[in-house]
Amino acid sequence: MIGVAVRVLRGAGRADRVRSALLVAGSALATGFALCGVVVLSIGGLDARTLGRSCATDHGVIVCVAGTGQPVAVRAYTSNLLNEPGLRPGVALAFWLLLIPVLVFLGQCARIAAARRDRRLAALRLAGATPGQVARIAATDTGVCCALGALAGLGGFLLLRAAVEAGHVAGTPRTLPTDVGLPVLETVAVVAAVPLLGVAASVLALRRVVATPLGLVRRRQVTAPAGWPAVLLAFGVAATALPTALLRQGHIRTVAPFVALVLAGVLLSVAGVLLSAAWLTGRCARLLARHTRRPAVLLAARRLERDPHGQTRATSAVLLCVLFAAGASVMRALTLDSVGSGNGDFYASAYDLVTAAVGIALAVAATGLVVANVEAVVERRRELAALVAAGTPRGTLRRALLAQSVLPAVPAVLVAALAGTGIGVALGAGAETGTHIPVLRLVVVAGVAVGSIGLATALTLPALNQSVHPGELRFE
Amino acid sequence: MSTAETLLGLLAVGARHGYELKRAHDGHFPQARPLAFGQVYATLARLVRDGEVEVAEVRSGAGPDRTVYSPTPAGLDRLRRWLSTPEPPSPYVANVLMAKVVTALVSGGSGRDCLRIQRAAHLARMRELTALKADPAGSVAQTLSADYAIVHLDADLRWMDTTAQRLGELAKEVRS
Amino acid sequence: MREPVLEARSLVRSYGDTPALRGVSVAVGAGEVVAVTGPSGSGKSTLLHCLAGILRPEAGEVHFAGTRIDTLSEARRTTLRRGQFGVLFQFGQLVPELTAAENVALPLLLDRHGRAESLTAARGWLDRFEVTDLADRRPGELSGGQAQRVAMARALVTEPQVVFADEPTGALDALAGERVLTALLGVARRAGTTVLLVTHDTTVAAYADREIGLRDGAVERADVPA
Repeated sequence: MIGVAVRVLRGAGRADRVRSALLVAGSALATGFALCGVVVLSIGGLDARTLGRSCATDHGVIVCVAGTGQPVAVRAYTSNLLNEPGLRPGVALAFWLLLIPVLVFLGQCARIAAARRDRRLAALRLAGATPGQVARIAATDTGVCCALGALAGLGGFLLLRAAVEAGHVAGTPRTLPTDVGLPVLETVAVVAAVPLLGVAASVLALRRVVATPLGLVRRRQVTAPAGWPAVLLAFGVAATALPTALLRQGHIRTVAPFVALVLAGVLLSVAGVLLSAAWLTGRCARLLARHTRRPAVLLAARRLERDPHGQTRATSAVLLCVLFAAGASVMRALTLDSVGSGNGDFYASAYDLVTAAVGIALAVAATGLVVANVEAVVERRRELAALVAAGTPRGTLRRALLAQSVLPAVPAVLVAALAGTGIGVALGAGAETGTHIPVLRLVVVAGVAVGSIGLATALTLPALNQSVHPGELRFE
Repeated sequence: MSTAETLLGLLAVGARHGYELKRAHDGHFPQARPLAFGQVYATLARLVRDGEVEVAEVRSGAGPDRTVYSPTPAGLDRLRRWLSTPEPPSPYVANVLMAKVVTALVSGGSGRDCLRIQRAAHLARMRELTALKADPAGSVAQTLSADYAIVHLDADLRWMDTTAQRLGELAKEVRS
Repeated sequence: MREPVLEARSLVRSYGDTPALRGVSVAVGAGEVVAVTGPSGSGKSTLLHCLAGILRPEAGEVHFAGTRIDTLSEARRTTLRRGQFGVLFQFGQLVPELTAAENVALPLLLDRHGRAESLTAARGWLDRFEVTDLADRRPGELSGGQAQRVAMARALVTEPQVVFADEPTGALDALAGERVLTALLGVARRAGTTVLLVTHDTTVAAYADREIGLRDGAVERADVPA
């Protein structure tokens, strides 16, 4: 089975190789983020609270005399996010939340080259392979890439960790918890889980092929999505407020249920954002298509109206980054307001860390968007070549492509930013200060997101020029 | 129908006597009914009468005397005219076309010209029929009969196109 | 022959190491309907692409209405294709997301005509090809013959001087193909539009006034112009 999968991969075109490379990179990144969370949670040492509050301050290496009178060395880090055991679950959670955009990216990669691979797999199906076999070949194909990525991620993580630890001067506080060993069980679980998730994504993306061996991929008739996603979104945002309230009233005492509830709320909001963005896209597109006289806008609007989910799916990873960045921005503002100037720097640096992580995720998401855009153009190459042959200027097609990704990006990013703000407010509801929303920061977040979507599309334009070759019009 | 021209074609590359002509003819047209000796001699007699074939020599040997025939300039002219005139484009002319192509190859030509002029004649007839169909005043029955003729002409044309592509092989076979 | 509206002189074009055209010269008179025939790989489509200014020949010249067009810039050739030429392919030329009327109106919108004006003109052309009631359908909801009628309307909406049709009936059954061709050539002949019909099918070539036969990238036979 693996042999066949390897041959299917080897017979692959450029798009397939790009897809494989991105799958490896994405799963490596996912493994890295997951392991970071694992490491943070495995930081041992003594709970600062049992040592007395004074010990747990930001003094670097702390030697404390506990009740026994014995000196105890508390391993310490430059960041108190790591020193405070109470904050560590939050840090781990942040890393694991970063997994969501990366996983969305993986799902996106699994769809890349889908049409051509669909056809090849459909050929296998016609050659007598059973649906199960085809699904297994496709899954093995993705699984192998993800497993390679997971191992690469583990290797990279260990190498980086060793490198950072080697640079550590004994006696000084560490920047990163490089002294903490990787717990074997959790590490194995992470490395095993990443390929499994990848396989699940590919099986999901390929279920259509398995059903139609002739590879007749009719474009699905997509009806305009209804307005209920907005309700889902509101519900999700509200749900993130619940754990904070429960915590305050003493119904929750441990970390696990708190984290689980927050995650559930965030996931609901994410689904809500994606679906509402699609709904909004469909509505705006229909309105535009009915009134514009500009051919580029007409082309873009009709494409969006036809498949509003497609564009949202392509930009979903970016939208998730916006959601996180907006949420973090609001919480940052609320936290900084509530702690006052004394500890402000500490918290600001903590949030900067989150911002940096979201930045990495955004870069990943934009890369995925470029590839998804190129693939979309390549799939349309016949139609585009015919349009150019009939005298449509390439500039019009370029503008249509830009409009197709930037027009829906604006409302979608707005929805994501609003949802993120809502989640931030909900999570930070415990703060006594008034709700000061960092408008400027949110505008910057939205601007960067729209900009990166535009940039990703602009990077696609050379592919457009190559795709409109008249050779696509030959039938012989 | 085309026996006279076929025999002229066979004689065009060298004088032969009647029996050799029959053997050569049957060899080149294996699908056709073998020529009867009577038909060969009757045809030759007619050709001699019309001044298109002449007796080159009479060989006498162990068996019966053998009369060797060769074409006259008038005969060669008739052959050329036959090869360069398209058959009236009606369905089922493939047998005559085949005789022409093979005869052209046997007598030193390429056969390509035969096919070209025949194709033009067929296509011209097809155009007439197609125009007939496009005539809004025409009846459905008229259209149906035009359809019938068109698809049969199309079968001939396809045969010609394929034959044109096989001419090289055919030439090798005929001249071997 | 009347003054040729379209003329190719010694066109040479290849794909990689494979020559597609090796010195093809043809001339087409105004209002003529010419079939370009030949077996697969004989260079028919390449010749059409060169004549229509879609492809640039590697050597040789293409003249349209007295102007050499193969040396024009891509932008000029694009404008020429949109205004003076109409193109019709076997399938897949309509934008799947646009309605039939919008597909037909597209060339007019590209020429900066108003939306209402363009759509009205588009409906007029759909009417001429007897597909008026399909104006608001998407190409995916049309039969092959209906889609070709919409494509013909789009090719003719700018009232071009030359229509290039590459196997326009290749994806249709015989009767649907016959109806599409009759409709196209009826309109073209009435308007005096020149039509270049690329086909491997002789029954399709029989709709034309004359035939140019290609073989291995060269003209094998060309009927004398009427």
